[in-house]
Amino acid sequence: MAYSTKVLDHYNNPRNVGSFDREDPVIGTGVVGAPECGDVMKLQIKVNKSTGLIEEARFKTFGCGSAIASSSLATEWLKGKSLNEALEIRNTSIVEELALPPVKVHCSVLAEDAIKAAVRDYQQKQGSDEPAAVAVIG
Amino acid sequence: MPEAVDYFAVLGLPRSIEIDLADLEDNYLRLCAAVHPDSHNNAGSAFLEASEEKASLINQAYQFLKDDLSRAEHLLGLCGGPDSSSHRAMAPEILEQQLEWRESLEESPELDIAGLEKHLARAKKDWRELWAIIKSIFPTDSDLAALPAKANLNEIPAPWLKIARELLNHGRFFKGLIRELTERIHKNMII
Repeated sequence: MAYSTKVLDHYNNPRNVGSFDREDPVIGTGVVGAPECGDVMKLQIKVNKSTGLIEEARFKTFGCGSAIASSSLATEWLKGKSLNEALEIRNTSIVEELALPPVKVHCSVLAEDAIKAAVRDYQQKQGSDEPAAVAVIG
Repeated sequence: MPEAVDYFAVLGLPRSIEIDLADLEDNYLRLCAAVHPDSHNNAGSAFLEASEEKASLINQAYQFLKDDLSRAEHLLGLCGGPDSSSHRAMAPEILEQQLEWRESLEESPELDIAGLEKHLARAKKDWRELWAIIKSIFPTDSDLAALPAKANLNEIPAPWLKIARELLNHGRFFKGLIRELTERIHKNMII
């Protein structure tokens, strides 16, 4: 199976690799795993408290090229989005953008799960003074 | 979805979470020889086509049964248990532990073979401990033998199926780590 050029691009030049301080209150961290293949993904968002927008996103993914590309793309898409907009990112859009084959769809699911987990973590840190944006299913 | 083929039956072995690898090897080689075209010089093309299909099934069964985790996956499927994409749950502390472990490995590119071997030994030990738990929750061999060839779709899944699923999900991460460490050790040996 050959990777698409977009996957290869993200794999060879991954965007926004790295970590933020997990204890920082403006950081939301999502750690997820794909039991299909044993990939582990950490995705973090940095939220500007006054605008409520995601200023920066970083990831670390230990897994295959498609998982790295999916999380790299996700961090690009997250920048400048509100938390609600972030929660609207669907794995199907990632599949489409990266032209992922059916056997690699779970990599995009992983990225979507990581976004949701990071947003949820941020919201939990903010406590009850901010209403939960959207109920996350699953 | 229950498994369509029983790989144990394909290789003439009793259904069991732990198998004798020598028996597996013996049966595999015997069956391979039996369907090999060289043993059927005068056979027609239809027969040869059928034996090619059989050979591919035998190979597939062998690959699935020789690895402990994939054997457990197959058995769980035969019991009507969920596959990893339909039940993805796992303990968050296992995930965190895996992330921490992989990050620390990534941050130590200077690790030599001895250092990597130490990590590998720990990963293998963790897997063995998990495997012992996995083995203990699967049904006995006699219960497995009594399973219908195809699990009944309408049956309500027994609670152990979900627990087994989660343990196998954990296992996939230990296996991934063991594979990565082994690859890294090989690379170091070449350099």
